[in-house]
Amino acid sequence: MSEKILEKIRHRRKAQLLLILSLPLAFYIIYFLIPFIAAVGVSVGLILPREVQLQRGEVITLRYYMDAINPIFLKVLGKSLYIAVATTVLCLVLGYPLAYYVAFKGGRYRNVLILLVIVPFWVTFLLRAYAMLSLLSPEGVLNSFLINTGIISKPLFLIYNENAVLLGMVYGYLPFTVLPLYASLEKISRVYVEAAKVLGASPVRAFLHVTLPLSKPGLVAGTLLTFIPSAGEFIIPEFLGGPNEFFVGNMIYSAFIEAQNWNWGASIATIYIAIVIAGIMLYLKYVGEELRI
Amino acid sequence: MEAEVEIEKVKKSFGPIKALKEVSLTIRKNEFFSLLGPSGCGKTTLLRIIAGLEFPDEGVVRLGGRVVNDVPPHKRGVGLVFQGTAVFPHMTVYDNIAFGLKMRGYKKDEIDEKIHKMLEIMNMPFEIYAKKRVDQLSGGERQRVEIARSLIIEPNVLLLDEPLGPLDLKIRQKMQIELKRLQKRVGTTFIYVTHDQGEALTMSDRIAVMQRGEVQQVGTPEEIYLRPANRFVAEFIGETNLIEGRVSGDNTFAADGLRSVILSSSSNPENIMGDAVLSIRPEKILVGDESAGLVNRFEGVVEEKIYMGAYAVLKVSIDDKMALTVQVQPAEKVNGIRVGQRIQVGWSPEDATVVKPT
Repeated sequence: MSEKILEKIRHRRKAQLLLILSLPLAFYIIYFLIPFIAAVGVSVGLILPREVQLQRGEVITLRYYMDAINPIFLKVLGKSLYIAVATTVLCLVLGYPLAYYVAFKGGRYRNVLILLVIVPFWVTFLLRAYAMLSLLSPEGVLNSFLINTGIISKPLFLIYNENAVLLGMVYGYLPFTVLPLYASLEKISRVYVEAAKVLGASPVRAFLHVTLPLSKPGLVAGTLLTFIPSAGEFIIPEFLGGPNEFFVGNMIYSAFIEAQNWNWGASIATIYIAIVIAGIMLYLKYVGEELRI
Repeated sequence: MEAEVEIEKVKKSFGPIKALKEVSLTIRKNEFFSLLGPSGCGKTTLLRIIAGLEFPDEGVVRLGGRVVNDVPPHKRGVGLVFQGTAVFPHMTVYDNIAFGLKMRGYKKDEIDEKIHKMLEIMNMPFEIYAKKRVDQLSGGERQRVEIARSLIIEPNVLLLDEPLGPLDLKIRQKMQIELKRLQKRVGTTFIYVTHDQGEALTMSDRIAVMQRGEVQQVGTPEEIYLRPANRFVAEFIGETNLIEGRVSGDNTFAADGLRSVILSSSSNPENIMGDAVLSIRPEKILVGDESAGLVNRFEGVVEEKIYMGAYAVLKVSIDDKMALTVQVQPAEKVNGIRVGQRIQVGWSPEDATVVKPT
């Protein structure tokens, strides 16, 4: 008797859970899963096959992948991954001390300080990339200032190179590193650090053995939130990189829009997503072990 | 007796708040010393100053004879058990206890051996507990891990900041006895901060009662209970009846509208004259026939009768001027007493103490 009731309750709970999840689930399926499957479909020619493919009578083909994997693509791929890693590392190096000091030394100004980190979000990403451009370009703010003050006579060429892209990426993604780091650091009770000190740890060792490992969830979240979008970034290279700085994001963009070759675009997009997912899984496998804090 | 910790005229303020006004204390080697007082009395601040987590504005702190005012916490070699707990949540029991040893550069096999011994003392078998994660432990077990972690570095002083606060009453009582036993076994000086007077009385060799940043009295539990130095201590430690009045030269105490109370020579250790407060513990007051023959004997009306299990409490009003709380043990003694009945109450002169009115 009572088991029947329990069974009923369990069923009802399941139904409720499904009801609550149905909307977000539907959203993800429609806007995320289906397009992704469609992209994979296009990349193997199952969807939108090209004329040539039809003439050969192939329903599914790996030809687009084989065409995509060429030295130019591999070079662009390597460069994109390198810039994404460099952006992530720089964001962590700059963001960790920032998050740390706001969390532990910010006192009652903490909320204001962290708000300042969020403020750039109020302006759209595109506009911020444009702001960077007007700041660094040969006729830009920085160069005019340096020339007017007589420090230099000719404008420095600060844009359209890899460093400009890196600078723009770090500027754009730093808040994504700082926010999860702050959230995680702020939760760490002072008591743990004090305990470490009383037990004989110098401030540096207390940080390395206690604060740093306890901030790991924020470190992991910050790394992923920075690495994933910066790996596929194409606005910043477009603005600050010029024609020489060509990244995977730009390549996908030009394959779809300029070359109008969707199969090609879909295949390089799929390759890139697969590589990024594999990288993230490796990362999580390596650091995620003790993540259950 | 050799001094382990000496606090000399220590002052500490946080902004406008004077946490410690001028505290001097000497804590002896191997004693169980409690800092007792209500929250905000400065006891935790004093503890943190001894640990080196706060620095005094004025005054001197000595550990084992050495002035440590400017020594950072990691070079003091004291142990500190925090309020709540501060066991590291990202480490196992083993790593928590090993932490202090690792910081001191001990080798793996030495650490292993010491942890084995320590867990044995703590009644936590190594095989069961060493690899456990902190979130798999109960509150009492976490507390023991933290104490083990502090003791394993063999500190001269172990500071404990209300370590039993979050635990259930039963476990707390068990841990009180365990802690006392542990202290005797390891012989370390314990300085124990608590707001629970029962806890302090049970465990301590000596107690310092603190209020508003000042030490009110230092003494053994018995001295503090039976001979409180002032009104605050009398009220804070246990239950008591306080009667406001005056002490006259002939060793009597007079309260408004009350026949004068006879005092003994030991009732007034500080020789207070004039305005004073008389403190009589509820269990020292006898009722009915048992009070016959006592020099301080009054008649009153029973206003309330409360059964407490092991004992009973009577509220007796004397001429509507004064209400006395009387504790009667065993509780059965009050069976024949009815509310509203007139009753005799009395106490011996040496069972009352005169304290300063403020």
